[in-house]
Amino acid sequence: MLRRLGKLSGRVFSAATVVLAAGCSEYGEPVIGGGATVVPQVVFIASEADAAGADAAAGSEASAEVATGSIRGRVQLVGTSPTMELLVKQGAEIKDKEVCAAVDVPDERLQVSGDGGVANVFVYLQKAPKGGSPVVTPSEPFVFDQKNCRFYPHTVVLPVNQTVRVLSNDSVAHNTHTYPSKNIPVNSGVAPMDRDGKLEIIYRKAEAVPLAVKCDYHAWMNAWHLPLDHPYGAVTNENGEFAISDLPAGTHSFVVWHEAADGNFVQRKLAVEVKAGEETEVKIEYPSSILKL
Amino acid sequence: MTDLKRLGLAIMLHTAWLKRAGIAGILAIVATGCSDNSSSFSISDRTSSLIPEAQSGVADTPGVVDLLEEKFGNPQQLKAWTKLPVQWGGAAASVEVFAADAEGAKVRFTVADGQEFPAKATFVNVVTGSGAGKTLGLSSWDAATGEAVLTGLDGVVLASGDTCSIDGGAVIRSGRVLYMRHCSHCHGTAGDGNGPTAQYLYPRPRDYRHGVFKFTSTNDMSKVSREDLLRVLRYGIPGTYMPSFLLMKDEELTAIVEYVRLLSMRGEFERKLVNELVSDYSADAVESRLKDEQRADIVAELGEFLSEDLPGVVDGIGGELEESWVAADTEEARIIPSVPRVPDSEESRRRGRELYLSKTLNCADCHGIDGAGNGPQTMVYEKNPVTNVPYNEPGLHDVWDNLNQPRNLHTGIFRGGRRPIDLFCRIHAGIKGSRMPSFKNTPHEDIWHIVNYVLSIPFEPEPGATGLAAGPIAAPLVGATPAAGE
Repeated sequence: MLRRLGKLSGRVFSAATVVLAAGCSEYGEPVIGGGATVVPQVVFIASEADAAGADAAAGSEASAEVATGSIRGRVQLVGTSPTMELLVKQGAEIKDKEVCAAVDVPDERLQVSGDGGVANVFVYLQKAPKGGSPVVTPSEPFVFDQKNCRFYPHTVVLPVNQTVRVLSNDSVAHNTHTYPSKNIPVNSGVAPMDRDGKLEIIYRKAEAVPLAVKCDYHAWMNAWHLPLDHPYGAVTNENGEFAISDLPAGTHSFVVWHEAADGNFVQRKLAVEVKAGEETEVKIEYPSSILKL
Repeated sequence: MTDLKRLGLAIMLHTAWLKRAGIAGILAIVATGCSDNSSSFSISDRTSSLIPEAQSGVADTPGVVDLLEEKFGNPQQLKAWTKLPVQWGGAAASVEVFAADAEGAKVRFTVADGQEFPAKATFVNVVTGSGAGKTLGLSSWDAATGEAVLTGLDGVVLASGDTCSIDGGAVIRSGRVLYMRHCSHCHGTAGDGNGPTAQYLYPRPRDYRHGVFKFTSTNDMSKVSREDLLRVLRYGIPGTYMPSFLLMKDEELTAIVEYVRLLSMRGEFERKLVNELVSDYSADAVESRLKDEQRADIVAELGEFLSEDLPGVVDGIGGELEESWVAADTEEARIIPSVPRVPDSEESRRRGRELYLSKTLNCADCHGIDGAGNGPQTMVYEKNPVTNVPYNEPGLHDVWDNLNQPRNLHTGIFRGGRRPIDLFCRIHAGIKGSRMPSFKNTPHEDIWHIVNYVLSIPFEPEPGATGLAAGPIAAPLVGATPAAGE
């Protein structure tokens, strides 16, 4: 009787397999261990279907003569400015100290001028404005240098497609490692004292926020690049000042981004009204309470 | 007799009952079983970090998760987004003449040049025209006239010039089944490197969703080629849990390669979509925005972005995927040494060691002065360069946030292959996704010297060893006059 039952359960099992196969798979493959071995269906989607959306997006490009104005402004730290220690003190016992600690290297995460101007703050439009002028790609490469294990410049806004030539003024090996979110990352060695700049970086796409540039030999080295596909972006100078010109008249929403701000945004949407033929003064307050160092 | 017969009858009645109950029970299992057993592609943590409206859309406008389903489907019903450079399988054909009646429809197809009508085809996928996306049955096909009889039209009308794929997706279907059988345990259903066994493995299985693979024969800015993936499948990755699948048939391996490429593209698509949204619409970003904005306004703004900007973005991402994955299989992407391998010699090894220790390349910084993979960089506490969060342990981390041990060059185990050309590629292109940089601007002759030195390291005597092995260079000189590129 037990044997019979054994046989029987075998029969039931095979019936189950048939049922399962019919129930789950169109192609009659037996199902073992869940749906993993079921042959899937494939639905074809034409690539042409996407073209319509792209055309619609490109429609806004056409620009007639538009009245323009400019903005000029300053990023001002409000509250007590923290004392920044040197990143590397001259003569410090660090790796490659004869080069990297040959001079004092400041901590560039926060540089505040005597009257509170914050340097290295990015002020830019995230999206090309309607009626704006197209981005101009300079024919000359942008020179990105390094000396005493420090990148020069620390921050830069770059037009897309501009060549960035990476130089080194140090007698030690460096590598330039970028962390973009839309472009292809670069991680390439830079030979000591490479004054010709064998390494070239080209950002093909605009980024939404500045991207980190690092050196893996010297983990403290850091710079920020912001490729944009329009000319409306700037970085504040050592006095916290910036200027953006030729903006189409109207209200624009600027991003104010700084590496030392918690979450990096000093302002996500800074609305500024630009009047035709005028220069608009913009004062940006940077509360020291949002600093995260 | 009677007792025995009675017993037999009882058993028969009993079995009839058992059978009914059994089948009913199993039917019940099947009814729920199909949905329970169906697998799904997981969404990434970054996608989950977005507010729900960004994931699943505002009103009728699709969000990230909807777009993923629209363009890639699920493991049971894959979408073949024909824009992507994937060999889906099946024969491309265009409709010449179409005539439908109550019985079915007669169609004359022209099969694309160089392709054959699949002999065992039982269905046709409509790619363009009013029936795009539909799957039709194929009941017969006449090779001489090109005439086919289609069934299951359900109102679909084909027009002259519409394109179809006959037995469409044959390769990707087989790739999906094989992947689930052989790969998903470690690499996960979505290729997220997080299958059930993944947590027990070190190094962790590759998460394809960055679209980045470490060991390639393509240059530093290019993606992995099909050939590279095939090589990894055939020979495995020495020193890791990735085994060799050399015993599988070529067509099986190529089908898996296509499916892995598709999963990589899906992951990249997801990543790039999230990149567009994360700085403004992650749950954290929205929380901080609520200080001076209303949630309803943020959602309205998101809705506008999803409906106005995202279609263009999706198309742009499709274009990028197409361009970069096509480029990876071209000759331009391949690393081809400009000089043949420098013959292995004591002099070349010495030169290689000099370069290894030099200030120019400073390989020792990570790999250590004696090549044990213990250079000073392995002691450094780093921050994640993107999130700026410090890592818990010192050392070098890759884009998957895994801690990487720079290779100990004494073991003779080289994950990306031990042929001289493999080592040449590792130095030339770097190891993608990791901290190992590209040394593409180093003279190729110098790279070969380093290759010769690195290949000799496993044969070096232990420090303090005496006797014959303690000679200045104990390694046998091999491959004295190899062919270029080998």
